Amino acid sequence: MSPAVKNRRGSAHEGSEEADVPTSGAEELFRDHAGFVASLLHRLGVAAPDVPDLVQEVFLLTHRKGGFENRGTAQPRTWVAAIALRLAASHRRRRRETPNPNVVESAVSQIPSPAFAVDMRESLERVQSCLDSLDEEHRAVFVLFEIEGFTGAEVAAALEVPVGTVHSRLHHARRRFSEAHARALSACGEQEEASGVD
Amino acid sequence: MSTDPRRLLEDLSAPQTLRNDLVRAADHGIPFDVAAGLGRLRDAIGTGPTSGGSGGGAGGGAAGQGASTAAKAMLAVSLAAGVVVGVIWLVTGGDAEDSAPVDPPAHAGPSSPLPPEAHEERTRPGHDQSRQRFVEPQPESPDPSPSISSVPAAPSPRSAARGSPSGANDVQREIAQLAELRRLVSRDPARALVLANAGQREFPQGLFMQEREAHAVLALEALGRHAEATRRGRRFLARWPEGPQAVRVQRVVEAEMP
Repeated sequence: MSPAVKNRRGSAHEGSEEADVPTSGAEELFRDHAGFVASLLHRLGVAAPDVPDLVQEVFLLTHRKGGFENRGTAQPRTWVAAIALRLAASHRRRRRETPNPNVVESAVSQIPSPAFAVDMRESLERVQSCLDSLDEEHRAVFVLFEIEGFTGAEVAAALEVPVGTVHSRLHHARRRFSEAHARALSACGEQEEASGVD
Repeated sequence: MSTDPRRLLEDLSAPQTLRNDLVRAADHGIPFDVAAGLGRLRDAIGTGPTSGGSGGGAGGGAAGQGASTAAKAMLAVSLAAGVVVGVIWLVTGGDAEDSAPVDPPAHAGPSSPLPPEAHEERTRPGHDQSRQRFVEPQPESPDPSPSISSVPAAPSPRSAARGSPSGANDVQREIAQLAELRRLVSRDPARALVLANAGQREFPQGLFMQEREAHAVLALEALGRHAEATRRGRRFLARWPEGPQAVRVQRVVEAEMP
Protein backbone atom coordinates (compact mmCIF):
# COMPACT_ATOMS: atom_id res chain seq x y z
CA MET A 1 0.00 0.00 0.00
CA SER A 2 1.43 3.30 -0.93
CA PRO A 3 1.91 5.95 1.66
CA ALA A 4 -1.32 7.76 1.98
CA VAL A 5 -3.08 10.41 3.82
CA LYS A 6 -5.65 8.64 5.86
CA ASN A 7 -8.67 10.31 7.35
CA ARG A 8 -7.17 13.54 6.22
CA ARG A 9 -8.75 16.80 7.16
CA GLY A 10 -8.65 18.84 4.02
CA SER A 11 -6.83 22.09 4.10
CA ALA A 12 -8.20 24.82 1.91
CA HIS A 13 -4.90 26.58 2.05
CA GLU A 14 -3.69 25.41 -1.29
CA GLY A 15 -5.52 25.15 -4.55
CA SER A 16 -4.80 22.46 -7.06
CA GLU A 17 -4.45 22.85 -10.78
CA GLU A 18 -3.98 19.19 -11.46
CA ALA A 19 -6.92 17.66 -9.76
CA ASP A 20 -7.43 15.23 -12.62
CA VAL A 21 -4.04 13.63 -12.21
CA PRO A 22 -4.04 10.39 -10.27
CA THR A 23 -2.34 11.01 -7.00
CA SER A 24 -0.50 9.12 -4.38
CA GLY A 25 -0.79 10.14 -0.77
CA ALA A 26 2.45 12.07 -1.06
CA GLU A 27 1.18 14.05 -4.00
CA GLU A 28 -2.11 14.79 -2.34
CA LEU A 29 -0.30 15.93 0.75
CA PHE A 30 1.94 18.09 -1.41
CA ARG A 31 -0.95 19.69 -3.29
CA ASP A 32 -2.80 20.46 -0.11
CA HIS A 33 0.06 21.76 1.96
CA ALA A 34 3.05 22.75 -0.20
CA GLY A 35 2.02 26.38 -0.39
CA PHE A 36 1.48 26.49 3.33
CA VAL A 37 4.85 24.86 3.94
CA ALA A 38 6.62 27.28 1.59
CA SER A 39 5.17 30.28 3.39
CA LEU A 40 5.81 28.77 6.77
CA LEU A 41 9.45 28.07 5.92
CA HIS A 42 9.97 31.60 4.72
CA ARG A 43 8.26 33.10 7.75
CA LEU A 44 10.51 30.97 9.89
CA GLY A 45 13.50 32.63 8.29
CA VAL A 46 14.45 30.40 5.38
CA ALA A 47 15.79 32.48 2.51
CA ALA A 48 13.65 32.49 -0.60
CA PRO A 49 16.06 30.66 -2.92
CA ASP A 50 16.19 27.79 -0.47
CA VAL A 51 12.47 27.47 0.07
CA PRO A 52 11.63 25.22 -2.91
CA ASP A 53 14.39 22.78 -2.02
CA LEU A 54 13.37 22.71 1.59
CA VAL A 55 9.75 22.16 0.62
CA GLN A 56 10.94 19.15 -1.32
CA GLU A 57 12.85 17.94 1.71
CA VAL A 58 9.76 18.24 3.85
CA PHE A 59 7.56 16.21 1.54
CA LEU A 60 10.22 13.65 0.74
CA LEU A 61 10.53 13.10 4.45
CA THR A 62 6.77 12.74 4.81
CA HIS A 63 6.86 10.20 2.02
CA ARG A 64 9.75 8.33 3.54
CA LYS A 65 8.00 8.30 6.87
CA GLY A 66 5.21 6.42 5.19
CA GLY A 67 2.74 9.24 4.84
CA PHE A 68 0.35 10.73 7.29
CA GLU A 69 -1.90 8.53 9.32
CA ASN A 70 -4.46 10.10 11.57
CA ARG A 71 -4.38 8.55 14.97
CA GLY A 72 -6.25 11.39 16.52
CA THR A 73 -3.12 13.11 17.76
CA ALA A 74 -2.42 15.41 14.88
CA GLN A 75 -3.77 16.68 11.60
CA PRO A 76 -1.79 16.45 8.39
CA ARG A 77 -1.11 20.18 8.37
CA THR A 78 0.19 19.97 11.93
CA TRP A 79 2.30 16.97 11.08
CA VAL A 80 3.79 18.60 8.01
CA ALA A 81 4.38 21.79 9.98
CA ALA A 82 6.27 19.86 12.63
CA ILE A 83 8.61 18.46 10.01
CA ALA A 84 9.01 21.86 8.38
CA LEU A 85 9.81 23.44 11.73
CA ARG A 86 12.63 21.00 12.36
CA LEU A 87 14.12 21.35 8.93
CA ALA A 88 13.83 25.12 9.08
CA ALA A 89 15.52 25.23 12.45
CA SER A 90 18.35 23.09 11.18
CA HIS A 91 18.61 25.16 8.04
CA ARG A 92 18.64 28.46 9.85
CA ARG A 93 21.29 27.34 12.27
CA ARG A 94 23.49 26.47 9.35
CA ARG A 95 22.85 29.41 7.12
CA ARG A 96 22.27 32.32 9.47
CA GLU A 97 20.90 34.21 6.55
CA THR A 98 18.92 37.37 6.53
CA PRO A 99 15.65 37.16 4.65
CA ASN A 100 15.73 38.07 1.02
CA PRO A 101 13.62 41.15 0.35
CA ASN A 102 13.03 39.90 -3.17
CA VAL A 103 10.57 37.48 -1.68
CA VAL A 104 8.38 40.30 -0.53
CA GLU A 105 8.83 41.84 -3.94
CA SER A 106 7.57 38.72 -5.62
CA ALA A 107 4.78 38.33 -3.12
CA VAL A 108 3.36 41.71 -4.01
CA SER A 109 4.11 41.54 -7.72
CA GLN A 110 0.64 40.24 -8.48
CA ILE A 111 -1.09 43.16 -6.84
CA PRO A 112 -2.55 45.33 -9.58
CA SER A 113 -2.51 48.77 -7.98
CA PRO A 114 1.02 50.19 -7.66
CA ALA A 115 0.10 52.30 -4.65
CA PHE A 116 -1.49 49.36 -2.93
CA ALA A 117 1.46 47.19 -3.88
CA VAL A 118 3.83 49.64 -2.19
CA ASP A 119 1.65 49.69 0.88
CA MET A 120 1.42 45.91 0.87
CA ARG A 121 5.13 45.55 0.45
CA GLU A 122 5.77 47.77 3.43
CA SER A 123 3.38 45.69 5.51
CA LEU A 124 4.97 42.41 4.53
CA GLU A 125 8.47 43.71 5.04
CA ARG A 126 7.50 45.07 8.42
CA VAL A 127 6.04 41.74 9.50
CA GLN A 128 9.06 39.86 8.24
CA SER A 129 11.50 42.16 10.00
CA CYS A 130 9.50 41.90 13.21
CA LEU A 131 9.56 38.11 12.91
CA ASP A 132 13.30 38.33 12.49
CA SER A 133 13.49 40.01 15.87
CA LEU A 134 12.07 36.93 17.58
CA ASP A 135 14.10 34.00 18.63
CA GLU A 136 13.43 30.64 17.08
CA GLU A 137 10.93 29.18 19.52
CA HIS A 138 8.92 32.36 19.89
CA ARG A 139 8.93 32.90 16.17
CA ALA A 140 7.57 29.43 15.51
CA VAL A 141 4.71 29.87 17.95
CA PHE A 142 3.88 33.34 16.70
CA VAL A 143 3.91 32.35 13.03
CA LEU A 144 1.81 29.25 13.55
CA PHE A 145 -0.76 30.87 15.81
CA GLU A 146 -1.00 34.44 14.61
CA ILE A 147 -0.33 34.09 10.90
CA GLU A 148 -1.09 30.51 9.97
CA GLY A 149 -4.12 30.33 12.20
CA PHE A 150 -3.23 27.22 14.15
CA THR A 151 -4.99 26.68 17.43
CA GLY A 152 -2.93 26.48 20.59
CA ALA A 153 -3.41 22.72 20.64
CA GLU A 154 -2.22 22.41 17.04
CA VAL A 155 0.84 24.51 17.76
CA ALA A 156 1.51 22.36 20.80
CA ALA A 157 1.25 19.22 18.69
CA ALA A 158 3.56 20.61 16.02
CA LEU A 159 6.17 21.69 18.52
CA GLU A 160 5.61 18.78 20.86
CA VAL A 161 5.24 21.01 23.88
CA PRO A 162 2.35 21.49 26.30
CA VAL A 163 -0.37 23.96 25.40
CA GLY A 164 0.58 26.01 28.43
CA THR A 165 4.05 26.42 27.03
CA VAL A 166 2.57 27.56 23.74
CA HIS A 167 0.51 30.21 25.50
CA SER A 168 3.50 31.36 27.51
CA ARG A 169 5.70 31.61 24.44
CA LEU A 170 2.92 33.33 22.56
CA HIS A 171 2.60 35.93 25.29
CA HIS A 172 6.30 36.76 25.08
CA ALA A 173 6.35 36.58 21.29
CA ARG A 174 3.45 39.01 21.02
CA ARG A 175 5.12 41.48 23.31
CA ARG A 176 8.38 41.34 21.39
CA PHE A 177 6.66 41.43 18.04
CA SER A 178 4.54 44.41 19.06
CA GLU A 179 7.59 46.25 20.33
CA ALA A 180 9.46 45.54 17.12
CA HIS A 181 6.44 46.62 15.12
CA ALA A 182 6.19 49.90 17.00
CA ARG A 183 9.88 50.52 16.42
CA ALA A 184 9.47 49.77 12.73
CA LEU A 185 6.56 52.19 12.45
CA SER A 186 8.47 54.79 14.34
CA ALA A 187 11.47 54.40 12.05
CA CYS A 188 9.17 54.59 9.06
CA GLY A 189 7.62 57.80 10.39
CA GLU A 190 11.03 59.30 10.94
CA GLN A 191 12.03 58.43 7.41
CA GLU A 192 8.88 60.04 6.05
CA GLU A 193 9.49 63.11 8.15
CA ALA A 194 13.04 63.31 6.91
CA SER A 195 11.86 63.07 3.32
CA GLY A 196 9.11 65.64 3.80
CA VAL A 197 6.18 63.25 3.59
CA ASP A 198 3.18 64.06 5.75
CA MET B 1 -7.00 23.52 29.98
CA SER B 2 -6.78 27.20 29.24
CA THR B 3 -8.42 28.54 26.14
CA ASP B 4 -6.51 30.20 23.36
CA PRO B 5 -6.22 33.96 23.37
CA ARG B 6 -7.80 35.89 20.54
CA ARG B 7 -5.50 36.25 17.56
CA LEU B 8 -3.88 39.63 17.37
CA LEU B 9 -5.32 40.31 13.96
CA GLU B 10 -8.79 39.84 15.43
CA ASP B 11 -8.10 41.74 18.61
CA LEU B 12 -9.60 45.18 18.37
CA SER B 13 -7.49 46.35 21.27
CA ALA B 14 -4.35 45.81 19.21
CA PRO B 15 -3.04 48.71 17.13
CA GLN B 16 -4.79 49.02 13.79
CA THR B 17 -1.56 48.99 11.79
CA LEU B 18 -0.36 45.91 13.55
CA ARG B 19 -3.61 44.13 12.80
CA ASN B 20 -3.54 45.26 9.19
CA ASP B 21 0.01 44.05 8.74
CA LEU B 22 -0.81 40.67 10.23
CA VAL B 23 -3.90 40.29 8.09
CA ARG B 24 -1.86 41.03 4.99
CA ALA B 25 0.87 38.66 6.03
CA ALA B 26 -1.69 35.94 6.67
CA ASP B 27 -3.27 36.52 3.27
CA HIS B 28 -0.08 36.72 1.25
CA GLY B 29 2.28 33.84 1.52
CA ILE B 30 5.41 33.40 -0.50
CA PRO B 31 4.63 32.55 -4.12
CA PHE B 32 5.14 28.87 -4.69
CA ASP B 33 4.76 26.92 -7.91
CA VAL B 34 2.90 23.86 -6.72
CA ALA B 35 2.84 22.22 -10.14
CA ALA B 36 6.59 22.52 -10.59
CA GLY B 37 7.19 21.35 -7.06
CA LEU B 38 4.92 18.41 -7.60
CA GLY B 39 6.88 17.47 -10.70
CA ARG B 40 10.09 17.53 -8.72
CA LEU B 41 8.53 15.44 -6.01
CA ARG B 42 7.36 12.88 -8.55
CA ASP B 43 10.86 12.74 -10.00
CA ALA B 44 12.35 12.30 -6.58
CA ILE B 45 9.92 9.63 -5.51
CA GLY B 46 9.84 8.02 -8.92
CA THR B 47 8.89 4.39 -8.95
CA GLY B 48 11.36 3.60 -6.22
CA PRO B 49 10.74 0.96 -3.70
CA THR B 50 9.68 3.44 -1.07
CA SER B 51 6.42 4.05 -2.80
CA GLY B 52 5.54 0.49 -2.11
CA GLY B 53 5.81 1.23 1.54
CA SER B 54 7.24 -2.12 2.43
CA GLY B 55 5.55 -2.86 5.62
CA GLY B 56 2.90 -0.21 5.56
CA GLY B 57 2.82 3.34 6.63
CA ALA B 58 1.44 2.95 10.06
CA GLY B 59 4.71 2.84 11.88
CA GLY B 60 6.22 5.58 9.82
CA GLY B 61 3.21 7.71 10.23
CA ALA B 62 3.35 7.25 13.90
CA ALA B 63 7.02 8.06 13.86
CA GLY B 64 6.22 11.24 12.03
CA GLN B 65 3.39 12.17 14.32
CA GLY B 66 6.05 12.03 16.72
CA ALA B 67 5.61 10.85 20.06
CA SER B 68 5.53 13.38 22.71
CA THR B 69 8.60 11.83 24.22
CA ALA B 70 10.65 12.81 21.21
CA ALA B 71 10.62 16.45 21.93
CA LYS B 72 14.08 17.34 20.90
CA ALA B 73 14.64 18.35 17.35
CA MET B 74 18.04 16.73 17.29
CA LEU B 75 16.53 13.39 18.00
CA ALA B 76 13.96 13.98 15.29
CA VAL B 77 16.68 14.71 12.78
CA SER B 78 18.48 11.59 13.79
CA LEU B 79 15.30 9.59 13.43
CA ALA B 80 14.75 11.06 10.00
CA ALA B 81 18.30 10.09 9.15
CA GLY B 82 17.49 6.52 10.00
CA VAL B 83 14.47 6.70 7.75
CA VAL B 84 16.52 8.06 4.89
CA VAL B 85 19.12 5.36 5.29
CA GLY B 86 16.41 2.77 5.17
CA VAL B 87 15.14 4.23 1.94
CA ILE B 88 18.59 4.30 0.41
CA TRP B 89 19.15 0.72 1.42
CA LEU B 90 16.07 -0.19 -0.48
CA VAL B 91 16.99 1.97 -3.44
CA THR B 92 20.49 0.55 -3.69
CA GLY B 93 19.37 -3.00 -3.24
CA GLY B 94 21.00 -5.68 -5.43
CA ASP B 95 24.51 -4.33 -5.43
CA ALA B 96 26.70 -7.22 -6.34
CA GLU B 97 29.74 -5.73 -4.67
CA ASP B 98 28.19 -5.61 -1.29
CA SER B 99 28.81 -8.83 0.49
CA ALA B 100 26.09 -8.22 3.01
CA PRO B 101 22.69 -9.59 2.19
CA VAL B 102 20.26 -6.96 1.07
CA ASP B 103 17.37 -7.30 3.40
CA PRO B 104 14.70 -4.69 3.82
CA PRO B 105 15.38 -2.32 6.70
CA ALA B 106 12.56 -3.62 8.76
CA HIS B 107 13.68 -1.47 11.64
CA ALA B 108 13.72 1.66 9.58
CA GLY B 109 11.19 4.35 10.33
CA PRO B 110 8.77 4.10 7.44
CA SER B 111 8.47 0.36 7.40
CA SER B 112 8.55 -0.68 10.94
CA PRO B 113 5.35 -1.59 12.66
CA LEU B 114 6.86 -0.57 15.94
CA PRO B 115 5.69 2.58 17.64
CA PRO B 116 8.06 5.54 17.65
CA GLU B 117 8.96 4.97 21.25
CA ALA B 118 10.29 1.58 20.30
CA HIS B 119 12.43 3.13 17.59
CA GLU B 120 13.89 5.61 19.96
CA GLU B 121 14.57 3.11 22.66
CA ARG B 122 16.17 0.57 20.40
CA THR B 123 19.77 0.11 21.33
CA ARG B 124 22.50 0.35 18.78
CA PRO B 125 24.82 -2.63 19.39
CA GLY B 126 22.54 -5.11 17.72
CA HIS B 127 22.46 -3.25 14.45
CA ASP B 128 24.18 -4.72 11.49
CA GLN B 129 26.94 -2.38 10.49
CA SER B 130 27.94 -4.46 7.54
CA ARG B 131 25.05 -2.96 5.62
CA GLN B 132 26.94 0.23 5.07
CA ARG B 133 26.62 0.85 1.36
CA PHE B 134 27.91 4.32 0.68
CA VAL B 135 31.20 4.88 -0.96
CA GLU B 136 33.30 7.76 -1.98
CA PRO B 137 33.52 8.47 -5.69
CA GLN B 138 36.81 9.01 -7.36
CA PRO B 139 37.74 12.60 -8.13
CA GLU B 140 36.49 13.65 -11.52
CA SER B 141 39.05 12.78 -14.17
CA PRO B 142 39.16 11.73 -17.80
CA ASP B 143 39.76 8.18 -16.67
CA PRO B 144 36.47 6.36 -16.98
CA SER B 145 37.59 3.48 -14.86
CA PRO B 146 37.22 4.86 -11.34
CA SER B 147 34.51 3.08 -9.49
CA ILE B 148 32.18 4.46 -6.88
CA SER B 149 31.53 1.00 -5.63
CA SER B 150 34.47 0.26 -3.43
CA VAL B 151 32.77 -0.09 -0.13
CA PRO B 152 34.83 0.94 2.86
CA ALA B 153 34.23 -0.67 6.16
CA ALA B 154 32.73 1.98 8.32
CA PRO B 155 30.20 2.33 11.04
CA SER B 156 26.63 2.80 10.02
CA PRO B 157 25.61 6.39 9.54
CA ARG B 158 22.56 5.61 11.60
CA SER B 159 24.80 4.52 14.39
CA ALA B 160 26.64 7.77 14.10
CA ALA B 161 23.53 9.82 13.73
CA ARG B 162 21.64 8.33 16.60
CA GLY B 163 24.45 7.25 18.78
CA SER B 164 26.17 10.54 19.43
CA PRO B 165 25.66 14.25 19.23
CA SER B 166 28.47 14.53 16.74
CA GLY B 167 26.69 12.03 14.52
CA ALA B 168 23.56 14.11 14.63
CA ASN B 169 25.60 17.18 13.85
CA ASP B 170 27.11 15.38 10.89
CA VAL B 171 23.66 14.69 9.56
CA GLN B 172 22.69 18.30 9.97
CA ARG B 173 25.86 19.43 8.27
CA GLU B 174 25.27 17.01 5.45
CA ILE B 175 21.70 18.20 4.99
CA ALA B 176 22.85 21.78 4.97
CA GLN B 177 25.57 21.03 2.49
CA LEU B 178 23.14 19.24 0.25
CA ALA B 179 20.80 22.21 0.34
CA GLU B 180 23.66 24.44 -0.69
CA LEU B 181 24.61 22.02 -3.43
CA ARG B 182 21.08 22.03 -4.82
CA ARG B 183 21.06 25.78 -4.77
CA LEU B 184 24.33 26.01 -6.63
CA VAL B 185 23.76 23.43 -9.32
CA SER B 186 21.78 25.73 -11.57
CA ARG B 187 23.55 28.93 -10.59
CA ASP B 188 27.18 28.08 -10.19
CA PRO B 189 27.82 24.54 -11.39
CA ALA B 190 31.56 24.86 -10.94
CA ARG B 191 31.15 25.53 -7.25
CA ALA B 192 28.45 22.89 -7.10
CA LEU B 193 30.85 20.31 -8.51
CA VAL B 194 33.54 21.26 -6.02
CA LEU B 195 31.00 21.07 -3.23
CA ALA B 196 29.69 17.71 -4.41
CA ASN B 197 33.15 16.22 -4.56
CA ALA B 198 34.03 17.72 -1.21
CA GLY B 199 30.82 16.29 0.21
CA GLN B 200 31.64 12.83 -1.06
CA ARG B 201 35.01 13.07 0.65
CA GLU B 202 33.64 14.58 3.83
CA PHE B 203 30.71 12.20 4.14
CA PRO B 204 31.92 8.97 2.60
CA GLN B 205 29.27 7.16 4.59
CA GLY B 206 26.76 9.94 4.26
CA LEU B 207 23.05 9.65 3.98
CA PHE B 208 22.83 11.61 0.76
CA MET B 209 25.62 10.01 -1.20
CA GLN B 210 23.35 9.23 -4.09
CA GLU B 211 21.80 12.66 -4.38
CA ARG B 212 25.20 14.35 -4.12
CA GLU B 213 26.55 12.16 -6.89
CA ALA B 214 23.56 12.98 -9.08
CA HIS B 215 24.16 16.67 -8.55
CA ALA B 216 27.80 16.20 -9.49
CA VAL B 217 26.66 14.71 -12.78
CA LEU B 218 24.24 17.57 -13.35
CA ALA B 219 26.92 20.10 -12.51
CA LEU B 220 29.35 18.52 -14.98
CA GLU B 221 26.68 18.63 -17.64
CA ALA B 222 25.94 22.27 -16.86
CA LEU B 223 29.64 23.03 -17.21
CA GLY B 224 29.63 21.52 -20.68
CA ARG B 225 31.86 18.65 -19.60
CA HIS B 226 29.60 16.17 -21.33
CA ALA B 227 32.02 13.30 -21.57
CA GLU B 228 32.78 13.41 -17.87
CA ALA B 229 29.12 13.84 -17.04
CA THR B 230 28.23 10.83 -19.13
CA ARG B 231 30.94 8.65 -17.62
CA ARG B 232 30.04 9.61 -14.12
CA GLY B 233 26.35 9.31 -14.96
CA ARG B 234 26.81 5.79 -16.26
CA ARG B 235 28.63 4.80 -13.10
CA PHE B 236 25.80 6.33 -11.15
CA LEU B 237 23.17 4.41 -13.10
CA ALA B 238 25.11 1.20 -12.78
CA ARG B 239 25.10 1.64 -9.05
CA TRP B 240 21.67 3.11 -8.52
CA PRO B 241 19.60 2.13 -11.55
CA GLU B 242 16.33 2.52 -9.69
CA GLY B 243 17.33 5.42 -7.48
CA PRO B 244 15.17 8.50 -7.11
CA GLN B 245 17.74 10.53 -9.02
CA ALA B 246 18.20 8.00 -11.80
CA VAL B 247 15.73 9.70 -14.12
CA ARG B 248 17.58 12.98 -14.04
CA VAL B 249 20.94 11.34 -14.52
CA GLN B 250 19.55 9.20 -17.31
CA ARG B 251 18.57 12.35 -19.16
CA VAL B 252 22.16 13.54 -19.04
CA VAL B 253 23.49 10.22 -20.22
CA GLU B 254 20.96 9.91 -22.99
CA ALA B 255 21.67 13.43 -24.16
CA GLU B 256 25.15 12.23 -24.99
CA MET B 257 24.00 9.31 -27.03
CA PRO B 258 24.40 9.71 -30.83
